Amino acid sequence: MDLANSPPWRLPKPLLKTEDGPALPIALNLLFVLALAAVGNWQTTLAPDSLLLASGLCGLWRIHLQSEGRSWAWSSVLASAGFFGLLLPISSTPDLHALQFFGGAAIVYGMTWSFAVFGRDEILRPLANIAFLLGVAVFAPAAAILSAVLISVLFFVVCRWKFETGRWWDTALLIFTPAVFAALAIYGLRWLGLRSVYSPEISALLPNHYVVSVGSFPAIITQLYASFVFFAAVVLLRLIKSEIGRADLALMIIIGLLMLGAVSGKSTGVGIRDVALCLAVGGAALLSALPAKPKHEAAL
Amino acid sequence: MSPFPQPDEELKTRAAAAAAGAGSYEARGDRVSVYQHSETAEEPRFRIGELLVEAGLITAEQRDEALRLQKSWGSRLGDIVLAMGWVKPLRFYETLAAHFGLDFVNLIEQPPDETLFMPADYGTYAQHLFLPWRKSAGVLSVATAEPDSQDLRNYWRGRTDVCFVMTSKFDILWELQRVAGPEFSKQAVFHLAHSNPQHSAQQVVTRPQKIVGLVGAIALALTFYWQPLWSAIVLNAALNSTLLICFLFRAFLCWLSCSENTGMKITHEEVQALSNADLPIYSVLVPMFKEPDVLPILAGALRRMDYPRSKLDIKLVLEDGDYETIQAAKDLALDATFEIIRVPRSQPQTKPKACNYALRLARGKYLTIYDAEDKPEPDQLKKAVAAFNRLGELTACVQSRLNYFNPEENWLTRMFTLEYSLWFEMFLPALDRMQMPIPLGGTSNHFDIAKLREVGGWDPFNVTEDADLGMRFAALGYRVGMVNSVTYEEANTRLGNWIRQRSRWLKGYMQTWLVNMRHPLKFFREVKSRGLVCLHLFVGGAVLSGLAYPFMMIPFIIWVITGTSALKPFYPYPVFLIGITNLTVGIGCLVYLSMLAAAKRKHWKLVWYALTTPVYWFLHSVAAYKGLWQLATNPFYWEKTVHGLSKLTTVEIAQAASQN
Repeated sequence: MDLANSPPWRLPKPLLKTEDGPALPIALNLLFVLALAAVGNWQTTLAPDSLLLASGLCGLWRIHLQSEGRSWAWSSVLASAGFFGLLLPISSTPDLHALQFFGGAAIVYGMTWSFAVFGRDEILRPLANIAFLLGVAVFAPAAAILSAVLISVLFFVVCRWKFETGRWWDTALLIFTPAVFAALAIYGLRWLGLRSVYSPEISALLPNHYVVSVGSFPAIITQLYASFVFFAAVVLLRLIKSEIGRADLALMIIIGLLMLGAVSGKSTGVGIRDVALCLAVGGAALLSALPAKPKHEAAL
Repeated sequence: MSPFPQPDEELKTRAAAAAAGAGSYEARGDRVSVYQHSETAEEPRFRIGELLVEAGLITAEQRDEALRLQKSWGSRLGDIVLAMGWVKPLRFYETLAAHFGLDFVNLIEQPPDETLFMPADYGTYAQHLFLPWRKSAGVLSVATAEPDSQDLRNYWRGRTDVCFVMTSKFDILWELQRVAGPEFSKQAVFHLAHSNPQHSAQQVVTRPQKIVGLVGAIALALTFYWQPLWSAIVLNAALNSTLLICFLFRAFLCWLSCSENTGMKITHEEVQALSNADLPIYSVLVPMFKEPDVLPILAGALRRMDYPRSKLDIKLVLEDGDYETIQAAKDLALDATFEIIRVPRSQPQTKPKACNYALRLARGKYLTIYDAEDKPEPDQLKKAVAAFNRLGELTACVQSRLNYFNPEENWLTRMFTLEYSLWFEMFLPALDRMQMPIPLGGTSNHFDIAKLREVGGWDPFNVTEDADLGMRFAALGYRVGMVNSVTYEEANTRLGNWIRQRSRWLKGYMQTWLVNMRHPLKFFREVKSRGLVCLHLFVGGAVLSGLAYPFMMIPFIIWVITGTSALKPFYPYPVFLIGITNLTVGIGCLVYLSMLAAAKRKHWKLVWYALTTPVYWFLHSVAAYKGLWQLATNPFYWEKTVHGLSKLTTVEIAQAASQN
């Protein structure tokens, strides 16, 4: 076979069509979810508030997908699949504090999406989103705090590296001011001793709480198989479309850290559910961040 | 016999003009029949350009340049040479009279017979630059500055007892103001109050509003008498909640404006695509009061505008007793694009009244207002025309963005710049995107002049006539758009001056809110829920936050820090939560939104200063209370903002004076 003169390898055409692209992860995901459900891995203890919040979150995702240029049908399919395949299994855990959990999901989604689209068409809005979400993340679960802190720090680096955002402290002020205000509100009042105020789960950020136990990883991967496949499919899709970048990398680091936290026990405040949340919500955000139209069309 | 050529003759005339390839003045010599009653009528021998060169008024090079500009601008050659300042207007009009075979009259020396003036036609005289001059032997002599004007012909069509004499445009405007000035002045003050009293702030508070206010005050007093603690708690919670909603609304507007797609963008290519020949006459009003020093800067800024100068109708609107500024304007010997309008003395002595007066003399299709120290971006007028073309028929106004050219002068100018950036880069474009009414900024608002006249012009009794006009446009079904062009102004450098200006603004906002709340249901039907939200949260919210900020925050902060038991009963847990949210979210919003505004304008050095926004808001509160006091005691008083205090302005004044 003459490799030098052979035509370049191409992916099957349907996969490259923008509208058809998301079919791959969705189809794979649904397949695995159904398979897992068949073997009884589906936890069926559903709290009404969790159900409500999960459907609300998926509804918002559907709106976001459509506002980003996806068709009505595909937005609905993706959101439904996200609901049944990803969020519902996660949210069916009995010990869940629903509002905080889904608040954390929204923060991870918003930050990942903003980081992924930053600099494509918009600069200021992703910056404002990330700064605001970082401020809110102070009140969120450990996984959201970890994601928010890591993404905002990476965001700061990217801002300094690639964009004109003033002097370094100007950039820092623009990204971290809301978080500082939120932290001041919490710690200032605690210091004054006037009220018992919510305490952020910052233990997830402290490295000395992490005790690596390599043997626990396969168990996590097996338990979160569907979420991993979904996430991998999204990353693969972004790779194929040459859209993979800093946000994907950030999310992989976050997931890695969360897995470390999850296997390190309760001292970190991170559990398997947090890993699943980041896989599902982060993957969804990366999927939303894919341009609805190919680059050359957008340029036209 | 008609004094005008018959249609076929007119066609021939136009054809001849087209064939000659020249402007209208010089190519219509065969229309001598128009001037049949003039004893000196004779057929012009040359084109006006040749005549001007022959008379030594312009050089051959200037004539050639004027002809070149004529092809590009589509204006008459005479307008071009006047606009370029190459010839003295008096000499030009004398030459033009000779060209058309008309007598030239100096209206100052030979004033018109005022009894011939028709008050209902004052506006027409101003628009089309003619006046009935004198009547003799049954023949009416009409003095005109544009003898070839189609409008002039239309107006006098069918009249055989009319002849024409030539005069200058400035003589006409001068005499018209002398005769019609009192009437114009009266209309400028009372037109809106008489034609549309519901929208006039002449009456500050209406009787039903007084009754509602009184009943509310009595009810509040009674509840405080019977249940002082619970009344204080409910009032506290209500005010805190309202403030929180206002803060969140502003944060949402800011978030919208963070997008690159918010606000209309007219590109450089769109501006370039506009044909100069198709551009309409643009009126520019510059109301001034005791600002002689900044006149040279203004003249320079307006001369730099990228717009055919022959199509600019710039009016320096000066108060009759302001001799210094009038003299300074005369001393500058500005070209014929500039006209001086002297507004007769009357009360209230406000900028909107002066603008209303000048509106009656404006000849443009569009009109804009600049303050004396303004520096608009040169392509602003063209961008406004492009915006009107794009936005469609229902657009009454296009607002440009305002910012400051001296942000780095002191803390106050930095904070003012941050605030203006927030206002014009974030809030107003977001209101535009949400199709909410836009409270207009003080200057650089570009109007469709017909619609401006239709709504009755500005309210002279409202001291933020611009914001009021924005709401009135919305109530009458018109749209206001934002355009991506900036006018740079001088930020206040002195605290006293800033307080004066801000107290006027907030007093005007109070007036605007009260005017629109006279008939809340009617207003709601007119502007729908979006307009109502804008009025309450944006206009009312600005006043309320200024008034309530110290009242809400200081006791709360004292209680949080000292834990004094005297205030504790007023802060049960729900109120505490709202209070703490206000304290952190509200102040955080104020600070962070200012940072974002600085980032949007790329004022990076100001980001840091946004941290001092809470202090700036205390000044805002001082001004709010002053405004409230004035609303009660002196509602129509116009707190004059002194311009020209900036160091940069001082330098520029010297430079501009040397150039002029």
